[in-house]
Amino acid sequence: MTGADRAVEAANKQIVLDMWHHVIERRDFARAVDYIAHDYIQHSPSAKQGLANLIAFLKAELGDEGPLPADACQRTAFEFVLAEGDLVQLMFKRPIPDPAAPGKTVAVWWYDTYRVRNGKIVEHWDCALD
Amino acid sequence: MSAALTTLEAQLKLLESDDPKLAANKRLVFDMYREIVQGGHADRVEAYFTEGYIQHNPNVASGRQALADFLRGSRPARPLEDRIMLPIVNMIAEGDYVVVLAQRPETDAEGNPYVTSWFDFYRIEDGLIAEHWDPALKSAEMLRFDPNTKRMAEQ
Repeated sequence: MTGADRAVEAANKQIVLDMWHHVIERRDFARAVDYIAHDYIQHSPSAKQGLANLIAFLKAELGDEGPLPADACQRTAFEFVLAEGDLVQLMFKRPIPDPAAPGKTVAVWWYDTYRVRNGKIVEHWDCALD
Repeated sequence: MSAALTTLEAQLKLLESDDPKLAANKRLVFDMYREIVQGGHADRVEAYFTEGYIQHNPNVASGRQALADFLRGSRPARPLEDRIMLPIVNMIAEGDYVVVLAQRPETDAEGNPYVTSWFDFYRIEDGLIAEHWDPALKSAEMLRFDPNTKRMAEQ
């Protein structure tokens, strides 16, 4: 692993974290195109392929009241942000609907993996259940 | 892009790194999958896990002995295979951590099959796995769960 590779890994982490902050936390969907390729590959069963479908999914999921000011949004506490090669891994605690208790949530460890090429997210995986 | 890596050659490529520590950590996790997760060889946990191994899966207690008990209760010992037979997609290593990403076939509430992703996240300490996280929810079924049932049909 060379210094140049390490610099790319650090830059890839920053792209994913900036995307997460502006697009997901601040709901600034117009900025998604700055971070995500139009034809990116989606492996999450929650959303369909490509950037336009992702934005439609996020609007339905998060609401379309954004963009929020940076100090008014909920920040995600990442337990880990790792990178190797062109992959970036996030892990954090996330409340999801509790299958054992309707109407309640339960905190699970949540995972997102992104592949970043030439400064854009081109592929995404998560542990979502349909 | 990024279908499951089913050949030994493709899986060995995942283990490569210019950093010998990262390569060794990935190799440890690869061999542990073959011998423990797939092989169910509960008597071999000492070769891969620290005695005080911390488990974040809410269905299994911490400690190497508890892991061996869980393995014995959830899967038979199987012949060793040369590669990971679960639909592995990627491994990511940085510092003391290794992440394994695999496809996961599931069935929705209407009974329709779909594919999501499963993650196993490991912390390695002096050549042994010292901590593990995954997305599991607490459930009684998980105590008897054999992940080998999640091999893809075409394998």
